[in-house]
Amino acid sequence: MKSMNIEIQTSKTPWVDPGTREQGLIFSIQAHSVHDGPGARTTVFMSGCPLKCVWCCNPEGLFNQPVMLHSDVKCVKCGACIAACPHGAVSLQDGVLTFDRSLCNQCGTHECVDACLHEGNVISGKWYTINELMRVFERDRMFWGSKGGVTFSGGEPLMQKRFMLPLLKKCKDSYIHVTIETTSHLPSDYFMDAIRYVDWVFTDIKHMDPERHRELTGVDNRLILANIRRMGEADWWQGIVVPRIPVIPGVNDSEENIRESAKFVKSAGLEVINLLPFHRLGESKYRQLGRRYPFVDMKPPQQKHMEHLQNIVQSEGLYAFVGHETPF
Amino acid sequence: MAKKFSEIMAETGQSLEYQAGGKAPEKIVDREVQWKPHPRVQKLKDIYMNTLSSANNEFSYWYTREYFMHDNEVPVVRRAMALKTAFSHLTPVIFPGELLTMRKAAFFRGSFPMPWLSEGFYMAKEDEFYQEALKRGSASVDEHSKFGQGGGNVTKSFDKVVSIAGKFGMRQEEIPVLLELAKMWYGKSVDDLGNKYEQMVPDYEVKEAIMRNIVCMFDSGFTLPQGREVINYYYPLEYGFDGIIEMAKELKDKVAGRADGDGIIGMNRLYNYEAVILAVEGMQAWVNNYAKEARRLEAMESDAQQKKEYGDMAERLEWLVHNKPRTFIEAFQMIETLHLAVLNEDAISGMSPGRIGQILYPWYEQDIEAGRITDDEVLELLELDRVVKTSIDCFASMGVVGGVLSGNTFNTVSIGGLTKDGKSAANPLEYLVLKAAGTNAMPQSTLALLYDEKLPDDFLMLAADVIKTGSGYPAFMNNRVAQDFLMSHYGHEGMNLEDARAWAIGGCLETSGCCWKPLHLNGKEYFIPGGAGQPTSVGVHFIAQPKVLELTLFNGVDARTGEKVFEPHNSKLESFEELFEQYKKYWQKTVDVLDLCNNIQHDIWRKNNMAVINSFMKPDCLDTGHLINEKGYRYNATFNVENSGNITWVNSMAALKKLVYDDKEVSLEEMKKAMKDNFGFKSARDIGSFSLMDQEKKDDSGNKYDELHFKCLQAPKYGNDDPYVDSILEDWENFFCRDCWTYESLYGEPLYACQISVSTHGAMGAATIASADGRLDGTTFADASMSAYPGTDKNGPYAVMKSATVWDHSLSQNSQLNLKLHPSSIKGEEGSRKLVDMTRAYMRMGGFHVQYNVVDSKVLKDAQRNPQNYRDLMVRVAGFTQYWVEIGKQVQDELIARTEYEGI
Repeated sequence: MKSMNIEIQTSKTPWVDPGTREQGLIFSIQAHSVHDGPGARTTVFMSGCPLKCVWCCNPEGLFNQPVMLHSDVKCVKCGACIAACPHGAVSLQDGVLTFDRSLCNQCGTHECVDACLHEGNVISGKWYTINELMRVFERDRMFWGSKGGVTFSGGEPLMQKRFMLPLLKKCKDSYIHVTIETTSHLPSDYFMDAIRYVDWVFTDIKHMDPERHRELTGVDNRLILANIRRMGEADWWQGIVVPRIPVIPGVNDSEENIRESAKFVKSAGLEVINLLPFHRLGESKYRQLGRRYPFVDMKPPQQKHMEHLQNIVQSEGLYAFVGHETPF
Repeated sequence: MAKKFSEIMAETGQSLEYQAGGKAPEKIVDREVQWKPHPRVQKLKDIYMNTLSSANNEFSYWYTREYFMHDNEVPVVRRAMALKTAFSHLTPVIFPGELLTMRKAAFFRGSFPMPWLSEGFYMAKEDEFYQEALKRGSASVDEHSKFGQGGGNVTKSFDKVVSIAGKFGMRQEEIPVLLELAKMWYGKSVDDLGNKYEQMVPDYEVKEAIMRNIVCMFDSGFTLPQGREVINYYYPLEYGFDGIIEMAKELKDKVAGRADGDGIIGMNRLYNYEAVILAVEGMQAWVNNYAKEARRLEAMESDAQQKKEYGDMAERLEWLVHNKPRTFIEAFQMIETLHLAVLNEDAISGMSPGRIGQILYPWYEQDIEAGRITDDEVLELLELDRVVKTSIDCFASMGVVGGVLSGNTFNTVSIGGLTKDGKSAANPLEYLVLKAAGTNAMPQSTLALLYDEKLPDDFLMLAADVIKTGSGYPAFMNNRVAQDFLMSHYGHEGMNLEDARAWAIGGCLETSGCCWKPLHLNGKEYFIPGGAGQPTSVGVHFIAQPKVLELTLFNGVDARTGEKVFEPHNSKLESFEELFEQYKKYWQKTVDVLDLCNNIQHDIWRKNNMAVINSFMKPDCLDTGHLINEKGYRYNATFNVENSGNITWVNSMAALKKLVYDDKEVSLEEMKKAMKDNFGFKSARDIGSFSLMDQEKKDDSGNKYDELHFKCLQAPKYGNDDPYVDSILEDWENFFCRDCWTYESLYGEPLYACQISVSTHGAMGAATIASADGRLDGTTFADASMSAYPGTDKNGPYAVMKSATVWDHSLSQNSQLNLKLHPSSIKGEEGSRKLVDMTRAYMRMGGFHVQYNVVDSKVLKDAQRNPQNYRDLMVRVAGFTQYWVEIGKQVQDELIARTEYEGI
C-alpha cells in the first residue's frame, strides 16, 4: 500500500476539515441519482475522508483541496502544460506525459489546467457556499418525487464539520429529505449531533476484525461499530440506518466475516444489510491521478456467491439486499 | 433507532423480499420487461421482418386513366371519379393468421407512386424530366439525405427489381409504365403547376436560393400535402357506408341549385356531395373485393381453424360494405379500412388514428359485458393492428422520406388525457392499448401519452414499463399546455374547453385540434373524439436557424457554396443586439417568401387534388357541404413554421455574445474565418461520421485555431440551468412564436410555431459550416428543439429540464425534448417510480414533451458495426420510433453521442 503513495491517516492523526464555515469542497454533484437512497435524489460528493480504503472507487474524494486529473485519452501530447507549469512538475518520459504528484497534489494554481485546450487536465473539487447548494436543491426538488431528496456522499460527507452542520440544519428547515453515505468514523458526539438532521444513513461495515480493518482502511473499526450501535439505540431519532458491506473478493467476503457483520447489525437493533458487489468503475480515476489501480485483475464477485452471502445474512434474521435490487 | 426500516417500507407498500439471482420475485425480473406478442402476431411480424418495401402502378394506372377520361368535369367530381376507379381496381391481399386485414397495395408492405402530385423524381436519372427536376432547388436535399442501408428498404436495384425513390423495389417491367404515367402528368402535377405559379412571387429567386442552399428543407404543397393530423372515423362508425351515401343524397336534394347566401362557393356543395358519394362507392367496392378474396381463400383452405377465420373475416367485410359495425372486431376492422383508404387518397405521412382507446370503447364495453370477447383477445387484436400500421409505407421522394421521416409514417395513437366532461380518460381499453405497445413493440403505432394530473398512477407506471421494453414509447405530452395552445390559437374558430379536451397528437408530436361526436350503441350515447382540423406541419417547412445565422454573419452569402441567398445587409454587426436584429430580419424574409410560395402550391393542391375521403369524415364537412379546400373543417388555422437546429443556434449566439461582444476575446472577423476554416478540422462529409467526437484534424492545419475552438466549446451551453444562455432561448422563443402569427396561410389564417426537428437536424447540419458553439462543418445540429447538444449538458437531466422551461411552451404547437436513459437508472418498480416522478416534474414546470430512449450506447455502437445482428433493435429518433438499421448514419452517430444519464 505504501507503493500506492497514499498517506495513511490513522485515528490518531489530527482531523483535517477541508472546508470552512463559509464554503464546502465538493468534487461532484449528481442529479437524478437513483441508487443513493429512497426516491430520486441529488447526490453531493464531499471531499476528504478519514479512511483510505484500498478499493476506494472515488479516490479524488480523498483530497482536502482541489486536485488535477489528467486524462490520457483526451491528451494530445502537445506539451502546453509542460511549458506552463512553474514548478517543473510535468515532463515527457519515454513518450508518456508524467506528473510529479508530490508537487501537483499540493498545487493551488493549476497552470496546466488553464493551458490545456483539450480537457486533458481538469480540476476535481469546487467550493460551494450553502446558498449556492440550496439553489441547486430548490431547482431539483421538483424532480425528486415524494420520497427523494439530497444525499451527501464522498469522501466522508461529515468530514467538513464547519460547513456540514449548518448545511444539514438548513436542509431540515427546508423540509428536504437527507441521506448520508458515511464511514461512521467520526467523533461520537459530533456524529450523533449531525445525524439529528439526517433521515437515512448508509454506513459501511468493511470488516469485523479490527486489525484487518486497519490494514484495509488505515483505521480500526471500533469507533465505527460504536457509532452504528449508538444510532441503533438512539430512541430520540427518527431515522433509518442501512449498513452496507462492500463485498471485495478475498478481502472481506468470507462466510465468517459476513455472518459476524450480520450478528453485529442484529445486536445493534438494526434490520437490514445491503451487500454491494465490488466493481472496477473507479479504475480510470486512478490513472487520472497518476496512481496504480490495485485491482486491475480482480473480477466482481460471482452472482452465486452474492446469493450465498445474502442467504447467510437472512439466516441471521435480517433483510438482505444485493446491489441495486432494493425496495428503495 | 426509533423508526423501523420495515415499517417505513410497509408504509410505501413495498415488498421486502428481494432475492438476488434465480429466485428473484417477478417484481424485479419481470419488470425489466421482455413481453412477447401472441404467437399469431409473431408469425405476421416475422413476415414483416423478411419483407422488402414494394411498389406497383395499379392504383396509379387506374387513377390516371379515369382522370384523363373526364376533361372539363368539375374538379372535385373528376377527382372522386378517379379515386373510385382506382379503389375499385386494387388487388386484395390477405395473409394467413390475419384477423384485421387490408393493405395499401398488393403487398405486405407496399405503396404506389402518385405522379399527380409530383412526377419528376420517379424518372430514371438519365431521363430529361429528372434532369429538369434536379435543377430545382427542392431536389438538392436528396443529395444530403441517406436512408439506412439495412431493413426493408430497397436502396439499390437487384436482379429484376429496380430501386425507386431510394426506398421501394419495383419490378423492372413496370418501369416503362411508371415513366409513361409520369409523362402524362408532366406540366400538370401539383408540383409542376405550383412551380409555374410560385415563380410569379416577386422574390422567387430568393426562394430558389433558399432551397438550393438548404436553408429550408422541402416544399410543402406537393411533398406530403396531408398528414400530421388526426383522422376522424366517426361517421362510418355511426352510420355505415350506406348511411353516408343516403345522407349525402338527402343533402344533395337540399342544396341543388341553391347558394343559400354564399354567392361564391355556396353552389359547390352539390358537387361536393356528389364527390363524396362516388368516393364512398369506391371504398365499398374495395372492401367488397377483400370480402370476395376472403371467400376464395376460405374455399381453398383445408385447415379447419384457418378456414373458419377466413369465413368470419369475409362475413365481417360483407357486413361492413354496407353497414355500421356491430362488434369490437368489426369496429376495429372498420377503422383499419378507413385509415388505409385515407392513406391511399394522397401522399400522407402522419395520419394519426388518435385516441382509439376512446373511439373503440363503446364496442369494447358491449362485448366484454356480453362475454363475446376477452381482454386477451382484445390485446391480440391491438397487437395485430401494430403489424398493419408498421407495414404502411409512404411514397415520396428520398429527401422527404429518408431525410425528414427516417422512413417513419407516424401513425401515432394517443392515450390518456381527459374525457369531454374533464375526467381521466384512462379506461380499461386504454390500458390494453398501452400494454400492446409493449407486448408487440413494433415502430407503429407510436404512442403519445397525454399527461394530465388526473391520470391514475398505475397507468403512468404501466407506461414506464412499456418504455422499459426498449421501444422508446410512450412519449409524454402535456395535456394542459396543449389545451392552452389550442384555445389561444383556435379560439376565433370556436375552440372551447370541451373541444380542447378532445385533442390528440397528429403525426409525431403535433398538437391537433379535435372534437367530440355522439356515438350510439345499445341505446347508450358515448362521446368519441376525432380530428376536426386541417393537416398541421404544412406551410413553411424546416428552416435551419444555424444556417440563417451563418447567412447573417456572412452578409447574405452561403459560406459553404459561396452563393448569394439574401441581399447583403452591410451591417457591421457591432453589438450582440445588432446581430440578433439582423438575424431576425433574414429569418422573417425566409419565412415570408416560403409562406407565399407554399401558399401557391397548396392552392393548386386544393383546386385539383383536394381530399374527398379524408374530408367527408372530418367535422363539419358533411354538415356544411364544403370539403377541406373550402374550409369545411372546423379548425383551419393549422399552417405552421418549422424550425431546426434551435439549440445549436442558441449555443452559437451565446458563444458569439460571450467571446466576441462581452469578453471581446476574438473579433467577429477572426471568428468567421475560424468557422470557414472549420477550426482546422476535416469536413464530416470526408471522414464519414457526423458525430462531433469523431471529427479529425486536417493534416496541415497546425494549432492556430485550437485555443479559439476550445473557448467556443467552453462557452455557456444550453441545458445547464445557466441564465446567460437560457435567456437567449427565452428571447428567441418570445419573438419566434409571436412572429409566426403575422404571416397568413392560403386559408387567410395566422401561422404558428412548430418545433420538432424530426430528422432534419442531420441533413441540414450536413449543409451548414462550422458554428460558433464549436460544432464542426457538416455535423448534425442538436436534435429536437429542447434537447441539449450531445455532451454539453454537464449537470444532468434536471438542469436540462429547467433550461427547457424558461419560456411558455403553450406559445407553440409543441416542443421536443429527447433524453437517453441507461437501463440501470430505471430498474425495478422503484426505477419506474423515479421515471414517472421526473416526467411529472417536467410537466408541472410547463414542459410540453419528453421521451426517453432506454439504450446503452455500447449496444448502439455494436449495432452500427453489425447491423445484421440488430434487425430487431428499436431506437427513438427525434420524436418517433424506428428500427435501428433503417436509420441514416448521421442520426445513428448522433444517437450514440447523446448524453446518457446513468444511475450511479
